[in-house]
Amino acid sequence: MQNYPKQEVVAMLLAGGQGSRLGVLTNHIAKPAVPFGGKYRIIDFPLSNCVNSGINEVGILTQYQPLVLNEYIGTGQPWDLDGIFEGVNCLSPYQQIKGATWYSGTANAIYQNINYIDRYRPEYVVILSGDHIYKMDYSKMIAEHKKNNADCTIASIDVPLSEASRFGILNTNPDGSIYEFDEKPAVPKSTNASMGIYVFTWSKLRKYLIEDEAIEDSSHDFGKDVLPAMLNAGERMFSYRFEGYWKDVGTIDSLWEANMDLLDPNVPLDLSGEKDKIYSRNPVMPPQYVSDTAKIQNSLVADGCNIYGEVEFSVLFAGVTVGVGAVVTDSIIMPGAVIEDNAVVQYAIVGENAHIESGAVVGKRPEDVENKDEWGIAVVGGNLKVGRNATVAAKEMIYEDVKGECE
Amino acid sequence: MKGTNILGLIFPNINDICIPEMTAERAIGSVPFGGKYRLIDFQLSNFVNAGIASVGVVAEKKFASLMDHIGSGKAWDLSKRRGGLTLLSPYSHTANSFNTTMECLYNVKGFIEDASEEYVLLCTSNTVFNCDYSQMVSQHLDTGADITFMYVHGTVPKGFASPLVIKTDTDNKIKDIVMSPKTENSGEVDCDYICSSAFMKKELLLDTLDDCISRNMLDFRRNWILESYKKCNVYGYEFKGYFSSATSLDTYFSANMSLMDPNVRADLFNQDRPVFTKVRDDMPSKYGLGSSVKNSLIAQGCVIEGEVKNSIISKGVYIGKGAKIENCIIMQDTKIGENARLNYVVCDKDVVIKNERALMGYETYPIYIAKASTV
Repeated sequence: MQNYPKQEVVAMLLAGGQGSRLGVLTNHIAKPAVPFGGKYRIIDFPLSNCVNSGINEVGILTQYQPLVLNEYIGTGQPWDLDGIFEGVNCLSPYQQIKGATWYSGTANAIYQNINYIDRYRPEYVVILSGDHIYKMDYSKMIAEHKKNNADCTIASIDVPLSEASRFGILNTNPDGSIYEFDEKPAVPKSTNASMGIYVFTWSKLRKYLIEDEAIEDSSHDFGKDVLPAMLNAGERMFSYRFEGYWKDVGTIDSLWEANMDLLDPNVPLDLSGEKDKIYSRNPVMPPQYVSDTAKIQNSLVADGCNIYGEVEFSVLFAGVTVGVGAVVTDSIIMPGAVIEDNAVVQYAIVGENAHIESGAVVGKRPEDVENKDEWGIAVVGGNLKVGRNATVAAKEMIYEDVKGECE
Repeated sequence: MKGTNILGLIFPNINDICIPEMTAERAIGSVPFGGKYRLIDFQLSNFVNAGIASVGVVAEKKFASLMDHIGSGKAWDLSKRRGGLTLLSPYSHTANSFNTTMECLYNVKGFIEDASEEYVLLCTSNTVFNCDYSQMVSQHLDTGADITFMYVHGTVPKGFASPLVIKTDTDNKIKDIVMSPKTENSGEVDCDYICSSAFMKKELLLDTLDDCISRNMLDFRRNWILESYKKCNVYGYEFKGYFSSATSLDTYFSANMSLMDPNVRADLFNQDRPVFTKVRDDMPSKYGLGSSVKNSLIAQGCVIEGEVKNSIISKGVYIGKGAKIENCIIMQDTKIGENARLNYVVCDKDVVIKNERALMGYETYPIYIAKASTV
């Protein structure tokens, strides 16, 4: 039998969710595979954090539309996670003697992979989700977990009081130990919000997963079932305060904002330096070409782009074309999309390989909309076409080709 | 024939002397090109795009930078169980006889003999082109040639070391080969010259090697290529696509600048035959408020605050506010300070140009700033 080398820490990345709030962007791909920041996919952030924190064994739990995600992770080579005995493994639900079941909840997904984790005989297991943009050194959190002799440590971040009721709030004693979970409280007692990042002592978590599985009416969810059960049983649970940039990109607005944050020098998320690098698969494309007619201001542009038009406050992924006279402002243009001559794209997300034909107008500036409730980011799904001189309204989400003139 | 029956051999040091400025510390094959490539990338990519899965890089000297670049060959899909990429470092059976391509080849004879492939493709590495080698191979088989040389039609580029000008008959059989003929070498007359690659059976290469070495004929070009057509069936294969070669600092400069032409980019960066290179995890390039970029190629990881025109800006370059860069090649991780002005300058890697500095060369005589210098 193969003896896997013991790992002190194994990370489990929950990447099976549909991310339905991202609408057309996750029609064919899982949320963690959604492109972000001009060349990354969301999952690059937790994966790179793992390797930068010295965690060399990562299990990725996949379920919804895993093709692109599986292909992207591949052998894990871009993240140095392709070792002989350690690295990355995509774990999808599988048939067992007792039958076949999907992952019925976050805790159940880990439960079904207890064998996988046991191979490495870890002391600790880190549970991560695949829809957050942040840089974090998990080793510091694990050190804190050890120091507290904790059974579970939950990373938390200070959120504005006005937003606190959107989060799970951790109410703590002065020593950081948690005495209460408040899931989306109407009247929050504190602003200490859970980031959905957990460190567990594996022997403890293992026990609670098995117990939870036996409860028939359990939803097998960490937040709803496992954590409350542990707290009720009096296990040592601590909050670990994270200082730095962190954003949940589960909605169109937050995805757009997080991309725009990269253009803001005052936002503390730096992707440039050698330290804590975010790794990704790189496109095989020549450098970007910027023509005589182009004008680019405060934007991020990736390899393989051809820019002939105007680009402002935007994030352009690899292989994007912006034609002569086209104007792209405050937008995210995903890989391979083409913005033809004289098209206008503003406050919008244009999906992979989408085609905005000449003269089309996608999205609207907020100042041009009278009723602010009707304003929002326009989204064009991947591989779709917006025809000549067609219009896509603010906040509109495009699931099918939009016909242009003369069609 | 499938590429899997071909052993590719690249000589990264042939033509080092063409650009002495840039090859002081590196082989010409690892000279940066086009913002994110090294010259050898084009030949390596041509190989793998033709299905060649076994490649030997026959290094002669100064190959530290090259080793760093090619590594295990992973970036070209050449990190393999069977075949893959092998860097053949120089070693000699005798004390000091290791000066010529012929000797280089002779010293890696064991590697060539052990290879299971039936054919070999020999290439230089200072050339920039995207070709489908399978066409050259088909012609070789159709004509029943013993050796096929790739040639291009045009004027010999300035600085091209000992060009071999050929005369062919109508079916491309080579009737005459002349080295550095006066009129053609002037760079003013169109002619057919051998540009980079030779294809033949492995046995023929090994026999020729033995024969030449035993007669102490050590000059690859004079003793072998120049004589070859007299002894066996030698054909030329004309490559008609975009071709340039770095044969001097100014042809290197103009080859880089030719990438601004969309037709050249479409040909060279053909999507069906991508050009692979070692990747670095740079973030996308950032264009600051008040920056201005016109007619330029920009690689990833750059921060551009100043003005850039008609230039090639490589990975990780910083261009400060108010700086004006025109007609320049700026290699990776170079920092250009505020209000600096550069015109017709080639900056090697890791150069620092301090604030307010001004440097100006001329189109036919660009200024070269050596690696890691500070101005």
